[in-house]
Amino acid sequence: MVGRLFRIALSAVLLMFIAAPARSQAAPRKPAIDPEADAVLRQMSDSLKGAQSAIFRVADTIDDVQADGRKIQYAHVRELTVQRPNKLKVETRGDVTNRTVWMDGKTLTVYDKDKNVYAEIPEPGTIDEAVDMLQDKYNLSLPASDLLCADVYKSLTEGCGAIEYVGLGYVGEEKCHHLAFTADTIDYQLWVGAGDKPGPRKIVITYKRLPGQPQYTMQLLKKEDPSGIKDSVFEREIPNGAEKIEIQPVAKTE
Amino acid sequence: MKSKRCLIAFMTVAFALAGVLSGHAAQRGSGSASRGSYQARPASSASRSSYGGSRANAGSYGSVRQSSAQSRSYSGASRSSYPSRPAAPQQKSFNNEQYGSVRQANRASGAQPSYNRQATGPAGGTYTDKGRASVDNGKASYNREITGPHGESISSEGRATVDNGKASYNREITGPGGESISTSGKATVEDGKVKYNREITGPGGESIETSGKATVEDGKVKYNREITGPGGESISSSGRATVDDGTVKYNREITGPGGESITSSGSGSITGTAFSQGAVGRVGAVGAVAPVGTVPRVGAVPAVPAVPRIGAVVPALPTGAAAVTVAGASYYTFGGRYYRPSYVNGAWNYAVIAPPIGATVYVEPAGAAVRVIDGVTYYIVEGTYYRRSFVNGMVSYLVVANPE
Repeated sequence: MVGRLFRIALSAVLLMFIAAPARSQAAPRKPAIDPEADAVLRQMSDSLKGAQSAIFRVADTIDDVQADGRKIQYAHVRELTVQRPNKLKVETRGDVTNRTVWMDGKTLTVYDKDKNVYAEIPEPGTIDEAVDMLQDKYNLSLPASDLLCADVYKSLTEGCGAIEYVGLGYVGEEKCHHLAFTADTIDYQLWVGAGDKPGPRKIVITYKRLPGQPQYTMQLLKKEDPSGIKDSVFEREIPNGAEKIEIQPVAKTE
Repeated sequence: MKSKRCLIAFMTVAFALAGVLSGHAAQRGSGSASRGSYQARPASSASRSSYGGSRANAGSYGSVRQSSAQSRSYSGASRSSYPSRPAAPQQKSFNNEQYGSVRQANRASGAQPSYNRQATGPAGGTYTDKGRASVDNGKASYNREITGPHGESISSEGRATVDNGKASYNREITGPGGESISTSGKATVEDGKVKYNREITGPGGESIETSGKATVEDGKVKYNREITGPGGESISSSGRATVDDGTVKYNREITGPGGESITSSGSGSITGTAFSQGAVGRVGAVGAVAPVGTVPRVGAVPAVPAVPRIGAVVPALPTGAAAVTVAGASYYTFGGRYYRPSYVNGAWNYAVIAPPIGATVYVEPAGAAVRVIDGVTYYIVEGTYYRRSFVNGMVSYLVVANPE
């Protein structure tokens, strides 16, 4: 309640400054990339790019910063099934969100299990296009979507100011390359497996412009063999009685 | 309850700052790599087995018991107590769906809040009003320029910070001829006590100073304030208000430079969702939030959160009212009510209106009747129809037109 009121207060401060916030895209710029970091990043991206389909299970946490500065952390587990270029299923279970997103090649469906409601977006395009469209048009973030895009290298470096190779570190018991990124509104860190499977292991995003600088942390729990994926996985399963509702686009007021 | 009141007082300060500011400027990141304590890097990737030697001391972290002990040894005293535990996650309106994607966050990073509006004046001329703002970790800044039909302009810029119950701001307004008015102020909120001071300096260096204090405790509020003009003349005011079993009572005394004084007192009652005014009392008379463009009374006593009926017109907003824009129109909202400001006969009034179409709340409206019309579920409260919809990734309740 206190956190909510604080957010309302801050939102109100912002809203009183401006009546019509508008969004514009950051101009692409070339980040200052440490060559060592670049090599790790490209190797990881290539390993993901090569796979047309994938099944990931990830665990993530996000901080909810309270009015007094305390951070309350919420956790979720997400199962992501990907078949490029345009099929996807993301099932999320956890403290705040219990929902599933399906893309069957024609329609994107978001189902909220707690409220038993769903919404459809027709013709979402490829996975990359859908991720961008959800952000630009609906202000809806798709956590872990950085693992889904066709070119992970591009996703992680676009809009980024600098990338530093920090060193070798550990995620659990596995030795990983540790990279640190700096961007305008976020800083992020990526851990990439240092062995013969150079995939992403963990990512931490710090929202440095937000009060209390909340952090999102995602760790790979499991990567499964995708060879047995059936098309039916991407077909939505909406329970009887679920209500279809609309999804509101972000207001364009400028 | 006490912490809630304290928060309301804090919000009063926040809104005061918001009233003072009216836009904000872009704050760009450094663009360079962060240089935290993970500085040193190994000589080569082949030989390293761990991070470089100048990393943070990892042995200093990871124990709540030890961290607490360190904290005590730093300060010599235990930290102030935290307010009660927040609501369970299931009841929260925390929007988890705004996080977790680098691609999307970087894509949105260019979204510095900005606006550019045009309006037609009474004589037909076009006025433009544009501005930009940023909020970064409790620090806000803005700039704004209003240009008239003949190119004359007024610009303003300002900054504000809110940190752990302390707020400060400064602002400068520059007129068409280059003349400027600057304002700066500070406010603190601690344990239900609010203190502030403010100084306004005109183009000729003349200044007006204001300072005040207010306390809120167990439904009793007290305040005093003093305004000192350029010549040292002062006006002071003090007042008290109590809320007891739905009845509000207040008294106030204003003393002028010559010692002359004006006293006023009043009472009112809160019944159900309607606030009925007493013989003398005035809704929001004590501690109202000023309309946009004027300076709210920072140190004024927070008003009693009344819930006036739809259709009423009140002379002041309840403390904590938030400015919102719905479908391009500006409103204030508080306690489930929306207020539309209007300037009539030299004074601001606020019409209490039904939530406008397009307004959103994140929890089911209290007391809503649920009806299914043409297969769509509506939530109806006092003639306002809400429909569930995904808004910013959250299932929300959106005000829609009456479908019947």
